Amino acid sequence: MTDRARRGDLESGREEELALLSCEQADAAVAEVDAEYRKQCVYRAEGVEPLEYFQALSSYAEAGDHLLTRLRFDPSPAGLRLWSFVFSERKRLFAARQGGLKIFAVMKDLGTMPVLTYALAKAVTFYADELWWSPCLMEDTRLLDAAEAMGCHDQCCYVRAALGAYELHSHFPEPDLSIAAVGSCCDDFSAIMQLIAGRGHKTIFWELPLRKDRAAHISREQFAKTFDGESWYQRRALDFLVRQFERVKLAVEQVAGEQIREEMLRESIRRANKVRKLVRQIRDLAYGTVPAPLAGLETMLCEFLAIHYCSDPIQCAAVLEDVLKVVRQRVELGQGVLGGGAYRTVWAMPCTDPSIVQLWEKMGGCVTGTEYLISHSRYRIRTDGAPLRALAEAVLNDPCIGTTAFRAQRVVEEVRKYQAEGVIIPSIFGASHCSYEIREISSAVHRQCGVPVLSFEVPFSSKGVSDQVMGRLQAFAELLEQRRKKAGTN
Amino acid sequence: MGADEKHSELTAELREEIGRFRQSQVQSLQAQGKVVGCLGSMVPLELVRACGCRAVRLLEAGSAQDFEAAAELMGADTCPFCRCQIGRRLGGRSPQAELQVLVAANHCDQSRRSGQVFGQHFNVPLLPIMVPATWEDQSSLEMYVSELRWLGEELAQITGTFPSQSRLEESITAYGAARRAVGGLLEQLGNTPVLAHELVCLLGVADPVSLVGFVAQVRGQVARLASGESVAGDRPTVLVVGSIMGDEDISLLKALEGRCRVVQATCSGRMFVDLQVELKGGDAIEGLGRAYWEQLPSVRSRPNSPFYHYVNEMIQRYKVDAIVYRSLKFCDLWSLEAVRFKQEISLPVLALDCTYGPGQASLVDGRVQALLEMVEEARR
Repeated sequence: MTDRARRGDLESGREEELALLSCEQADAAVAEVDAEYRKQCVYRAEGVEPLEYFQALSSYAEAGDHLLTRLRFDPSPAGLRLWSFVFSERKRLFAARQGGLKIFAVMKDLGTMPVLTYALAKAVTFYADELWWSPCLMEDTRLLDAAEAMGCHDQCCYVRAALGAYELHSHFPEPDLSIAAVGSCCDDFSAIMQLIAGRGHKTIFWELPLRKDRAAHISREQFAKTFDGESWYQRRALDFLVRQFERVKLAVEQVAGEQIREEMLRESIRRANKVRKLVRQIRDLAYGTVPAPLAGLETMLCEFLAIHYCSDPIQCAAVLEDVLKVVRQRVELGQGVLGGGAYRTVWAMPCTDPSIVQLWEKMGGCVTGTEYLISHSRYRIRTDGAPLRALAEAVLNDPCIGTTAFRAQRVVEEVRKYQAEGVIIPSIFGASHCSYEIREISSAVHRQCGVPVLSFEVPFSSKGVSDQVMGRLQAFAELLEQRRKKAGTN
Repeated sequence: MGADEKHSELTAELREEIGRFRQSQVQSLQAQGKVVGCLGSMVPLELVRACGCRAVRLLEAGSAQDFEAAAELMGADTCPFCRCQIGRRLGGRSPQAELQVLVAANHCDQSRRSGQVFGQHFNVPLLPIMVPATWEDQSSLEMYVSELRWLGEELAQITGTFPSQSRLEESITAYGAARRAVGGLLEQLGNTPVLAHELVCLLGVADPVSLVGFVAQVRGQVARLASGESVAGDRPTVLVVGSIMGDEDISLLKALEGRCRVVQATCSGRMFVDLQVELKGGDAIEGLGRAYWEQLPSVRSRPNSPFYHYVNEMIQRYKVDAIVYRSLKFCDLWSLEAVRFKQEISLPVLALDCTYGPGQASLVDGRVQALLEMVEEARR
């Protein structure tokens, strides 16, 4: 909770609740935004025709992401710009290809490899994994069907949509190189990355090392702590990772026809740190203030921008700066987009179906902390020493390459930091890590924080949130209400 | 007594002998130093033994009961093999119940995580080792060897016995002899794959020196069994590849038995037996690491071309007519590769996604029969 937490204001009735907009209302709001502001919202890259992206959200819905018509949006221009920016990524990628830029698809490391590739000016990088929520956004099984035809059935995570997108050439141009992180990662996505490579897409694999925990019986390993993120790791893992990065760097340079010099990499790290700082600031205010100045989905979009800038590092920083400005203003004015009495919950997985987050908010809940499997993408990257080594070190903050207990601890820290009343784990059937993590996270949260945990599987549905999920969320809200009454905090 | 009856009798006798030997080996576990469970084919038993421990490669799995027992600790969508490791410990079954240390490799996400559950829930010290999935760069092999050195040092801290060059050489020689002994019998047991599988599983739990003695003892019986198989030459040869096969996970092998000649080439089959470490006087840990690295191709490798190379080699070596590609339910690394495998291999492939449930046997039986009918038809 930040110093400016508004519990006091809440009690004195100073809070003001801002209404979220329907898609139709958002379109009207976009139309009213002045031309000067709109002019700032343009993707520019050498050789690429400038591309304005601040458009009616319904146009993105019409282009395929139909769920947008059922979501509600932050009323500020900055919030609407954020949505437009995220959903225009596909256009940017195709424009970049037309403009002759190199296209890199990165997979699984979620936050580090793009810092290397964005050291090149004439390159664009995107995460194929991000297609994971597309079936729900599209309310359509096309990507999943295409993946299934190649053997990726419903026993594996929705991330299989990435394979479908590679096959259909629907969401991104053919990458010049796919950079796949394997090793200590989930089995289903490892298999998917192999299938992608097996289909003839030019791919380089690199290794995510196994990060070991310090334990009493492990005495012959030398451990060190990451620069930021405070993650213990065995030193040998870092040396190994540096060699992995050297390999990838060489492959990237060969594709780009340009060498990545140290100063280019330092500049890219500086840019990454700027974005990461913005995300941290937004999170802290959004999750740590009552009433919440930014809703769960908008904050989630900001968090995900840190992993690859949505294919435009410059606009990404501008979008985040804009959002931060609005959030700060709201905190100053005591304005929130959700009621001050919302049930404070940490989300320990990103939700495949974003409408579930809004359903929870509608039921009186809010998101006040997250562990979206990308928490390593918000820590600072070291700026002293060799930049490639600094990047390698940043990988070692990844919550998924070590023990389940490590990630559970990250969730616990979020609960404590933002004084959450509960934890929600929207899991994915068949994702190799989920079934192991739920018990561990639940047990750690119960034991260390004494707050309840709700976990449920998110089913794919083109007809809205299932009754079962709705019922579970409702029951959880009631449980949190009862706990408040019992504690006399209501 | 007819030839078939005699064959059945000999098979039953051998199974009993294997069972008795296995039992005696399990009972002697505690008497030979710390009992160290090795989860994954890339944890070298030779190294663990050289540290004064009794190495047990965890191959015990396959019962629905063990699978169910683990439900309290693991989700429904988890690998049956991994679940059984936990379930057996919960049920007090050997050798999982006797383990004092667990070495778990990150062969797959689930073996990594189930190792953590095992260590944490049963308060068993866990030594996790990294086995890189990548192999195209020398750094991956070096990392693996470095992990083995570390493992040796950690085990030495626990046991007080350092894996010196001479201890390693002795251990490598012992396991080499045991593998060769078992391998020699396998060539004669192609028509009795269940028996062959039980014999291979002994390599995981038995002391290698005792195992060599046991093999010498039953060699004559195996030869008699093989000589009585008059029709063996006419049968098609089926290669079995796929997820690890636990000792009680035999429904597929049962379905194949008597119908074809079987080459079981999973990591708990031929691959486990054929591994040989050549010392040539060099650093023993490096030699060990290199042998495991080069001789155990995995579907999990990225890219996984060495696995396909291995399968093609086996097809040539054993003149294979058809392949059963068997994955365990929720074993993504195998099950998601099935369609591609069928496209890459130019032989009839039966892809099975198996569980340890009770209805499995009849389902597998029907599909195996259909495959073999197709193969027979093609051979005519």
